[in-house]
Amino acid sequence: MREMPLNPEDDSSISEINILPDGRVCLFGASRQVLEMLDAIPLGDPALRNRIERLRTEESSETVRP
Amino acid sequence: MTGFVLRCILARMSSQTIGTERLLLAQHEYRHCSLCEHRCGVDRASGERGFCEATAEARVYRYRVECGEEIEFIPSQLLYLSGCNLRCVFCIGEADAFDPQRGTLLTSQFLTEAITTGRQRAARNLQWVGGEPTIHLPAILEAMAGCDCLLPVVWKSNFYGTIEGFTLLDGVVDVYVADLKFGNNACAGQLAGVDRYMEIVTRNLLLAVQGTRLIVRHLLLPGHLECCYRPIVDWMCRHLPAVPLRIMTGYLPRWQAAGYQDLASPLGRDAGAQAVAIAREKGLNVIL
Repeated sequence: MREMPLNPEDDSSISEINILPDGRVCLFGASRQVLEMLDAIPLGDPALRNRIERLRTEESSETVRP
Repeated sequence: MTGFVLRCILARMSSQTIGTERLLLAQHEYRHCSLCEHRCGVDRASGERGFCEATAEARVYRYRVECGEEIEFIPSQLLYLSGCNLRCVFCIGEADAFDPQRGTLLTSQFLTEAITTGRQRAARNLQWVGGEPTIHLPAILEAMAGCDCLLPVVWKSNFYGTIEGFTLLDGVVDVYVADLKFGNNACAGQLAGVDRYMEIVTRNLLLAVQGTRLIVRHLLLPGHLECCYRPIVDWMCRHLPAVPLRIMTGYLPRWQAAGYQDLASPLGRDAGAQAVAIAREKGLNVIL
């Protein structure tokens, strides 16, 4: 199922990103769009990468399903 | 009503439906609350409040589709309920988590609309989170009973509930996700204001895993590797070696954490990798 676009005025959907002084990123309440944005930055975070891949796999399996 | 009596009654019911009898039993808990191990015994239906300060109304302070939770669940529709039976000084939910008056009243109509929106955003399951959902169990069951578009249910809890509470959830929950926060009673008492933490939470973990999928999570706390993390890993090795352990490294000194020397700073840079190595060395199924 394709994801419906998020409403930018819906503040309950806001994700929280905290960047520590040493460059580590703590992310809370991540939407797909936020994950994809962070995926474009070379953070080298396997947890982030795995989740993006999972979402893309889900989407492609939905697409080919009869 | 004891957990044993509840189990006998519920055993006669369909395990996959909520049903009138289960709802009545759950509502009875509001009359003399024993949903969590504080066992305040207050009449929440009449407006009395115990440790968690919740009445018989459950309120949702945030609901949204998230993709940062356990990887097998995403995208997931989360409903954050206000009110909690723990008082963790480092709670990231801060005041929203502790004040049960915050948020929108949970009803079947509200839940139906939330799930409908969640489905449009590709949500694959419904996660009850908090605060702590267990203290609102009757209201949650009532809302789900009146909703005809339910998704598979993930119950994300601190596991400081009673056997009676878990019995009421039997057959309703598809996956339990337990936050095992501390590895000893002293830290739990000092940092979350609860007694007999280890006895209660480990009892419930062993109960939950009997008939339902279980994932255990632990938020690494700075300065608590030896007193909390290692005992948790050891306990998991002995009792739940096959259960996935999610190690969370996103600790931030929020809420009242600044008042505690150990907790006043973020987690050390290498703490996560060290914790993963310890658990994997013991053969645990670590998920990130």
